[in-house]
Amino acid sequence: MSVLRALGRILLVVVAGGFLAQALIVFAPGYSADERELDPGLSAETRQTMLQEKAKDRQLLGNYGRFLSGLARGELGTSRSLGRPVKELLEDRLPVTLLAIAKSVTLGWCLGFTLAVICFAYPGSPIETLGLVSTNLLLCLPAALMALLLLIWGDARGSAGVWVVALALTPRIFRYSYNLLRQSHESPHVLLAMAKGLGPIRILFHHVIPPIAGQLIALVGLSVSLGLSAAIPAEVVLDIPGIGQLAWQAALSRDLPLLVNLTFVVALIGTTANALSDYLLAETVPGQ
Amino acid sequence: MKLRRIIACLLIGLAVLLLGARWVAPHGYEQQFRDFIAASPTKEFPLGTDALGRDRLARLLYGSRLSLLLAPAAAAVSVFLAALIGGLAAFAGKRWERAILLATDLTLSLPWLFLILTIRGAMPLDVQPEISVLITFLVLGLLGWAGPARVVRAGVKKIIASDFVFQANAMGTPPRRIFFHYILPNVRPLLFAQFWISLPVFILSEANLGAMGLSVSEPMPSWGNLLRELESQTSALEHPLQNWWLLAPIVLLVGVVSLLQVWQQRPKGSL
Amino acid sequence: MSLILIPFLLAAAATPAELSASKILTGGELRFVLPSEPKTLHPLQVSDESGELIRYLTSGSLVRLNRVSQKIEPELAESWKLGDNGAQITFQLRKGLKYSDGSPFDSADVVFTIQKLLDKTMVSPAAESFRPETGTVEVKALGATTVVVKFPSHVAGVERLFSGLSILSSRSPKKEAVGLGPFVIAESKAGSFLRMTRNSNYWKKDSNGRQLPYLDGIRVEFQRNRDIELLRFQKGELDLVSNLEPEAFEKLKTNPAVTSLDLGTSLDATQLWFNQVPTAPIGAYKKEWFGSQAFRLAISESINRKDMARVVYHGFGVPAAGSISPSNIFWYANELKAQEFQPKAALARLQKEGFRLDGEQLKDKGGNLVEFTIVTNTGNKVRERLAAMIQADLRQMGIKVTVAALDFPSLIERIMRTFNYEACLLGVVNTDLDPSSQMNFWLSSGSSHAWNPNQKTPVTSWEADIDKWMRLQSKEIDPKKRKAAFDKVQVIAALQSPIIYLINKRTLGAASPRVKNLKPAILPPHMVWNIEEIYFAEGAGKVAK
Repeated sequence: MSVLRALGRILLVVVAGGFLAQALIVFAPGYSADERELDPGLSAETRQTMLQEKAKDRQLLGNYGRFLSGLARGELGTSRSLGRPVKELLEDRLPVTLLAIAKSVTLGWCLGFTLAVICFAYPGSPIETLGLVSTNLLLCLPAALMALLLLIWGDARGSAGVWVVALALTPRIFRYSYNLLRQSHESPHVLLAMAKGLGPIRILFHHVIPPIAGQLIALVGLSVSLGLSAAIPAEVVLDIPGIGQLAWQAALSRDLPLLVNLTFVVALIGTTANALSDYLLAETVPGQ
Repeated sequence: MKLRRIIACLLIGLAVLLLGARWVAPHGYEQQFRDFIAASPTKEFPLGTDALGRDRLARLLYGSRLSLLLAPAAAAVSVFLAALIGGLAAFAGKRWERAILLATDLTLSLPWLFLILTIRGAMPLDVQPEISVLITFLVLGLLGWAGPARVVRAGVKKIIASDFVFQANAMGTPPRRIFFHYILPNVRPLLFAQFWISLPVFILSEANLGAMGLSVSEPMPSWGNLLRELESQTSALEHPLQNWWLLAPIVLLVGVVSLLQVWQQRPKGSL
Repeated sequence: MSLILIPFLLAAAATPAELSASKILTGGELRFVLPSEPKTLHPLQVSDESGELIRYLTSGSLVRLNRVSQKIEPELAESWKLGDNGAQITFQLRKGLKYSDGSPFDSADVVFTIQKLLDKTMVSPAAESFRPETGTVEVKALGATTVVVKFPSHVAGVERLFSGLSILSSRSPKKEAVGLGPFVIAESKAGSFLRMTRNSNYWKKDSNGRQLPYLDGIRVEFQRNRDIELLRFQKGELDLVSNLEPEAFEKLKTNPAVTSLDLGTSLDATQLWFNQVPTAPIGAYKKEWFGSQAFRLAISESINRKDMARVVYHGFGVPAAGSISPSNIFWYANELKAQEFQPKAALARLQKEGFRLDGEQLKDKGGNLVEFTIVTNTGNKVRERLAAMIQADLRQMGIKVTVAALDFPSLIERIMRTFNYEACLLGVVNTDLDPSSQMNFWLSSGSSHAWNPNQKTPVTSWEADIDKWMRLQSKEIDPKKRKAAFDKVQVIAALQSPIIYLINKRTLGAASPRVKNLKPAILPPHMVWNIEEIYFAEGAGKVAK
């Protein structure tokens, strides 16, 4: 039952998200414009056709209905700016981004959580300060700057994308887990365990982490959404052919069919990750 | 105790410096010295000049002012919303919870870029930069709650399941009191985490929205667009020590955020 | 802004082959990046810069514009002649040519291509340029090697239309995937790269009878970020960079491991114009300023173009005099001079019109503060800096300028549809030397008539004059008479300044020293227009990184 409910929720988010996205896009300024119009060679006839086509898109409900029924038949439509079927574009690019995000989230957790545990283990020491300052530095670096630095210092362009996203996630994961660890550490049962003279590793894994497991799990779900949004600038700057780059191109050319489909994909990934983490939360935290 | 005091002095000193930018910086942020393009630091220009011959020190001081005032406010707004909405999701019953989770998932999936373009389109072209920045940060604050709300909800659920809330319930404490007195204080670490993440992220986002036409425009500087200027300074990145003055915005931002954090984190009396 | 530039240009362009043909080594893969992926690879449908370059490298056309001499030269057609008062062109084709898949080339292919282009369902810049306003174009083959194309009326400079037209194969089963160009597409990964290999059936041979092209292949990657492109070029991962920003060029100039190339003043101009649309949603008093010749001239005089060239372009730009760059050797009107910086004259001009300085602020005769907003597109550093300089210059005049940077679609919507703007700063890219391609821009009825498009009848008498001269130049056959008519247009435009021309930037590029026989030109594709003759110093030998 709960699985069905989760699926229902995912579906609802995806369908409603697609519709709202369509409305946002169509009514945003610049929707009726086309870069090709600047070309003085364009004939009046072509101009008129372009304008009419865009005006039709303002009939939101009808369009969305048609789009959904097409989707039910497995048709995703054709990208207007690239002139290729959306299905093909997604097939090309989705694996690239998904793989990169999986790597980045793992890497981000390895870095962020380890750093949090280290800083937590040495409160008030220079190590802690170093951890704080370095994660702040990561937060303050624009994605493009980070990408450039990675290219200047490193050589591999392929892995730079994974690193940019991972390094964007690291400070966020660090901040949350570090604050949670500290809070948990101050709770009575941990103080008791310390008074009993238990070893630090035992205290960490048996007394500090379990009470905050639920929040950490919610954070894992969230980090997928965060990773997705960090992937857009990373892919744009480094020109990685994933869906982040595609989304940016689609936004710049107001490519409606492509944008709605991409909203679907983003909603699907984000919501599924969150639903999974909700499920884990219910399993690990009693009383849910 | 000592550390907190030192940090407080530093921050106050910086605030004075920023507020007194007019007297500290020898030139206006918009004044172009066209014979001193991209100059290295001199007595006249302590941090050198930018591509149009404008005093980098003046631009940094003026640019930091608005950002340093508005970014924390926006971060606070998003944290407040996250606490309220996340708390409500955990606290107000299954139906609310489902509705709120739906709303968070939707908020995390929508292409907000287009809303921002619509807002820009609705404002007059010659809108005052201050108002434009204010709106930018407001938008950031209002859109930033969804992710953290999920984490807050998980935290609140844990607290609700804990013994002391159970006791409070048994003693007949009204729900509102339980929410504000027992639950919110216990998710504080989460909220602070969110706040410290949002602060620099919003400062950067402001510059990204600037790329969409929202936010400040020429000749006004903002911390965000000073940071983004670095993106094209590859020589500064390759040889940071020879070009240290170009890195001033980032050093200042990391410094300020870190100082504020340490100040908040050390409870009074410790150390 | 004088003749001095032109000899310089020619000198820069005429890079001699450094080695005699026998010493030329073949092989190797040329690598460079394009800012975006081509939207389509169909040669007749390309609409963007990247697609145009790929088309150029992989297909053949009847004639080719020599990018250095700016003259049309024979290519697939050995010769051609005009007839019927310039309404008809007859091509004599080369014999024995083969497409990349081995299928033969003859007049049937040319007829097939042109008919395909004229099909109403074909929407592309190439097709648009072939469609006359009235009547139809006819094409027929006279035997295997002669093709006649008949237009309903005279077309000015008709042969240039064919220099951008890729000839498709009418017989090959692979359709538009085969071409007559020096290279064929071998592999492509969407959004990432495209690899081309040499066309072993390419028809051109060098003076020693060696088959061209010399290179084995070309690898084009799609990369928007120019800083990363530059970084990779300096690391030796790329062989060429073109369209460099002045700042980047200056940096490369100091690098001894790089050949930096200043190709000369480009055809592109950055320009500022005021909205003169009568129905525009802006204040009536502002419309009155923008419609006033004196106001426009005064703004033009208040802008310090020399400072712009020096500060923003680091000296790699020249003050612009009009829509035609001095590099457009034939069409540039020599009597034009770029506007000098004359703030005092500007103020006097404004005062004559009833404007006055009130303290530090300029007011019009109705007492309104003189202030306006310049819209421009975001993400273009050079343009944003130009806007800031205009702002500073006009502040000296007591005029308050606000700069609003908008994303491109929003900007286009404002300047072409809602007309909700006051002034606009944009760069215009010119790829065609002939003013016929600018008809839609100059005619008052044109949809690209930037300051007040789609007029039913000309609003001003000077616009009526421009219409008259533009129509005349398009009907005239004698190039000298066409030039005289278009000179009039340029002079009127300078006098009235509906568009304030600011800077013609220089076309800048750089290459790895191992790339030989480059004949870089201001016209696209700047560095690789003679791709078939380009070779590597070490041939197919490994590149030392």
